[in-house]
Amino acid sequence: MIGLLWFLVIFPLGGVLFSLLPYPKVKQNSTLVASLITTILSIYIICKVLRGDITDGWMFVDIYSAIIILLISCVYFLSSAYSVYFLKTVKDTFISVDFYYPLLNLFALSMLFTAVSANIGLMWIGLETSTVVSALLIVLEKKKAGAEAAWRYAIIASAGMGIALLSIIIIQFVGKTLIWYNVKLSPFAASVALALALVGFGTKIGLFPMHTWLPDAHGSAPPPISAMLSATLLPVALLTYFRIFLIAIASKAYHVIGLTAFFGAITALVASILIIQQQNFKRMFAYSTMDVMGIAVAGIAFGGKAAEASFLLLIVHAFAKSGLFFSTGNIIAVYKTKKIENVRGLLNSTQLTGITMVLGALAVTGAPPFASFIAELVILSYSFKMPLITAMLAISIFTSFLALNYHVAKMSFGDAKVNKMPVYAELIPFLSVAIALVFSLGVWIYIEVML
Amino acid sequence: MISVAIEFIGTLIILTAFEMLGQSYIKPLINTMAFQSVLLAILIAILGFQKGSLELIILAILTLVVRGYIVPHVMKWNIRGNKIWDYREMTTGVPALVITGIFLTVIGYGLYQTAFYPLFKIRGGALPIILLLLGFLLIIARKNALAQMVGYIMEENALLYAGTLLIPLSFILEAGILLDVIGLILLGVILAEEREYGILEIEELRG
Repeated sequence: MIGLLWFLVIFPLGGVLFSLLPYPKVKQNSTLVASLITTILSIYIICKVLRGDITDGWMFVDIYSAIIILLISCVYFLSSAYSVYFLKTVKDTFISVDFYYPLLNLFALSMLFTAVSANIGLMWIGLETSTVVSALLIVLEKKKAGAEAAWRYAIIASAGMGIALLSIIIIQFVGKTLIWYNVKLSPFAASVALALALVGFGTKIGLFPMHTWLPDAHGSAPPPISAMLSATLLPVALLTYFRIFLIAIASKAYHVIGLTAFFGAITALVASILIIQQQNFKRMFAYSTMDVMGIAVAGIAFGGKAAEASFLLLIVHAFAKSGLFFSTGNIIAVYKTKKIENVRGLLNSTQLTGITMVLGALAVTGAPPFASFIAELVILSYSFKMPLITAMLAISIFTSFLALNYHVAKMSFGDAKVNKMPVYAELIPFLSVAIALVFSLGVWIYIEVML
Repeated sequence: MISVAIEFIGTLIILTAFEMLGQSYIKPLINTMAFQSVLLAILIAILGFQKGSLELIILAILTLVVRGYIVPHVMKWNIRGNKIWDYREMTTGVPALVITGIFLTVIGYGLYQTAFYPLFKIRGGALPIILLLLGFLLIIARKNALAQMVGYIMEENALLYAGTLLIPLSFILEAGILLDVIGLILLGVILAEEREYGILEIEELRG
């Protein structure tokens, strides 16, 4: 009897196989069906996990991995749905468009495989696979910048994953197992393993100063792939790092808390400053992702409610950022530019896209009523025992809020005479941000009831 | 006797890394990479026979075939007939690069002695760490994608070297196979990209 968790891998695998068939409609529909079923399954799993962790052989799902699985599944589905429109706008491709859906399914599969694994070695394999698959997806459109971005991403991320492998070698050598919840290390071994993991997996998370691939890859990738990179791949890498962080804490290497919090805070600070000077809106959203990941990393370092707040932040960010990246696809299709200064009057021209942009920007920068506001507040309150970290986080939250919303406001208001979008193309991004909003309202109601 | 042979081959591998750092022509660079991979395959095979591990022997054969033959062969096939690859890629900075390499060797040794040796207690374990750092240096220092690919293979070699020396388990086999597959896919992508756009050099993408 195959356990429930196996289906998280089987359905996307089915999507990969069916989308290899030489019929465009089959490729599209099998991806939609596979992603929808995976989403339904992930909702069922998160409900089940609320009653207790699920273990099945090499697989383990607790509430943290269940959240990440849910995010992967939902964004996988939304990206598949948006791809139906997006592929119609693509004229010239570097890789045959026939490979788009198989690679998309494989990308989701590699991330689900990572999130569901209890074995850190398997998590590393999943993440490394995701690097190659996503690099191929980044070069889909025939552009030299895309090719260079993909190459830079592949080489930097693979180098980072190489360092992460050293961390895993230490864990295996000293701990004698790679099942993360069974690993016990000496504080010294845990410190070395975590330092290497911080650099290695930190590269994939987009932590400063290993982040250089991130704006290039997110900025050059097709919008559905940018959404998956930003909303799911980085959180999956964060989950892997989180597991090693928990090993270090269980091994009494408490000084890793300060180290992790510092790298998280400095990442958020640098990203928020870089948002100010951006001229390309896709790169701007990429830096915003880096900012959010930095805050989330700091949150997991503080543990307890702050770690839970980090995952709350990731949920809101995933849906809102997906909506924003899908919207960039719409904007590029209509305005034929990625430059912020050339886009004006979104709320007049493509109203739903304009609303999505404004709401999405508010959501990712932690404005109320979005739950990201609560999450950032909790993380900030937990950082008070480290005043330097508090200052860095506070400045980054404030700066990114002002900078991102200022840029988006400039794009959204004013007059514009451009062609109308198909409603369908505008609906998917809006739906994505609407999920973030409804979820946030649910969180407020839950807090109201509980308190 | 076997441990002396392993350390001797390890030292040769480091020397090939320095030869690659100072090599300005792409064809000899690829040849040295192939030679380094063959040395690594021999080292893994010796370790495999010493430990009686079939997995390590399979890994040695795989390393020999993929990194020692297929990858260099595909690279050389790609650049055949293109005169541009007959010129020096890097006309200045070779001494500085080699000195940086020596500096990294000292750092790598110090890093191993302070952070890794207390855990592993394995003599010669510093060599893969040094090789890893030299691989990174090659990736950073070179501008064209083929030379960076050579740096990536050097980095892969270092990880495989570290894995086979330090952990006796099948995970390293899986990881080694995966790294090879990834190496091949990356190679395929850059070759296709170079055909499409000309020689790929990482330009600074702004902002």
